[in-house]
Amino acid sequence: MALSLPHQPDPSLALFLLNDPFVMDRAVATARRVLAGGSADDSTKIADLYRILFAREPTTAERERSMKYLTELQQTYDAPTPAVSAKQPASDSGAAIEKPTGPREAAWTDLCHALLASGEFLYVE
Amino acid sequence: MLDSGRHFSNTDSPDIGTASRRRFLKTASAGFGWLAFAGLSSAEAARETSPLAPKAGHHPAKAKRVIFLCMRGGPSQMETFDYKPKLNADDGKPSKNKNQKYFGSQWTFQQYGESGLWISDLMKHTAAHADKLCLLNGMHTDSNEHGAALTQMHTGSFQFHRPSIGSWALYGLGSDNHNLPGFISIKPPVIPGGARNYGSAFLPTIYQGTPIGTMSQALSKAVVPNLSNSRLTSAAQRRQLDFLQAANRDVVTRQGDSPVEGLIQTYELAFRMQSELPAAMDISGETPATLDMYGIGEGKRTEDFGRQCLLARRLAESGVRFIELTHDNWDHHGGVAKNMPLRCEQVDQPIAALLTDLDQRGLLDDTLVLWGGEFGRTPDDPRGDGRGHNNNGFTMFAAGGGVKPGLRYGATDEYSYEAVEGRVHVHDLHATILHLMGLDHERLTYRYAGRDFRLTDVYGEVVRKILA
Repeated sequence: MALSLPHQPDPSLALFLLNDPFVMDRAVATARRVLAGGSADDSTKIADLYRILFAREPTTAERERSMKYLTELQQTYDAPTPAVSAKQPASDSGAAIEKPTGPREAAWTDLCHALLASGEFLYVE
Repeated sequence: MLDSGRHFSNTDSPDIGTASRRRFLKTASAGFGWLAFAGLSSAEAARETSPLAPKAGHHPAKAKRVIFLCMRGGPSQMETFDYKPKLNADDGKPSKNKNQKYFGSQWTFQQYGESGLWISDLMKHTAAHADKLCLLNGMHTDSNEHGAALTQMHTGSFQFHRPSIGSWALYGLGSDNHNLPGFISIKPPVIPGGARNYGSAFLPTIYQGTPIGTMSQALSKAVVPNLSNSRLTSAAQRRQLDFLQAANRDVVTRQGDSPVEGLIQTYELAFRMQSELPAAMDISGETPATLDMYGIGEGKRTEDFGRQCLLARRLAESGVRFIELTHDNWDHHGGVAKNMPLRCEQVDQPIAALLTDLDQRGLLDDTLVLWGGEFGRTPDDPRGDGRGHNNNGFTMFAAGGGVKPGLRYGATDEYSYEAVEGRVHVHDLHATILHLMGLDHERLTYRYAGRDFRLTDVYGEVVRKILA
């Protein structure tokens, strides 16, 4: 029998994807890759992200939804006192965990994290 | 609900694990039903189609929930609930086994309550509840090896990987609380059997038990992994989850039947758990009198199991379907005289407090409390101050949840080598637990690998004589 993700994952898997430092570490790395990619504007960078994660172009709706979320995130992180906690991520194993530097990287990290935790990334269609 | 002819399985009940209602609405009437359905709030929709939604069983339930107090290692029945005057009288005499002597209990037994059940002084707090207890003195199981017996106690099988009884109960009945897992194992054993003891095996993973801490760790130090986010506030994470769920719903719309549908529900449960589970675990709002009753307090021997029992009551109150507590180190091959008083002291007062507390809150009537280990002990041992493993005869007790109170059912022979009357195999116990929960163990099936599986395989008989 091939190993596969369970049809109905249990909450511990969902909590891992939402909160584990390893997943956040990978989200930071994904954000850096997209930001360093050289695409001029955020809309193009979003398309880069979809190609990296899902090997396809985003639909118009997806591009708009991502832009909206990203804009909100950037406003939040640009605020003098960000509404988002700046607690340091910690690893259970004590391994070094990358954390976002600066508001722009932080905003992109949250976006990347959401898509890394998405069903499309987890399951092969 | 009372449709007694209903056979509960994943093959003829397609709403288990998939959202048939959603699919029906999508295809029927050109999908207009779907449009209306899609307009419901996502939380409401998730609740309606969730595989954890409460379901009616095969018959009315006496026990809405179970609290299993698992004494890992195999506690001695002769020192607790199986009074053996003949064994005590023959203490030190050669036993029927070569080079072994009878080893009588060193503790006094007394009759308690109107029922007059014989119970050892080591369990005197629990004994005060004698008239609530149903002693099962004729228990037996297939293996005298810890891992096998513990796994069989939880899953019915030790040869194969099978779902835990808590997973079966959750699969059959769903959960009354959609903010907490429906099956929680407090301080589960790491070995033997490990996660198998609360695993869902081939049942959908959503029915798997959620562990809190592990057996070898104090409950006050126990954490549920990844229960909080180190970067995002709850509001920021909710916003992130909204974005993530929109992407997930796209996949479901695009693909129809997709595992992502289950993922959407699981994410919502996980998100709510982040606030609900710490709240359920936080006992700071309990009165000093309650903490005292359970024996919770730094340095007290009852501190840790007291916390487990109190947490069990809190989870039972919250509507968790199946709750298990493990207490370790009942494997007394030696030093019975020193170890049994200590182990019993650790659990006795907390168990009594749990029974009192459930009773006072009106929960004992529909909560089945079970106590016992994977097997019991032998009446003799070559070492002289210890006892060997005994799978041929041991004791468990049940209380509340539709069992006859103040009853001693079954018996071992005069030395307690084996169950000789009112014999209850683990399969029979499982059949009875499911029966009390409103499920017929012969009809609660799951089709996997080409055949229908049951918790009791092809065995098990409901022990009708202990039903209230």
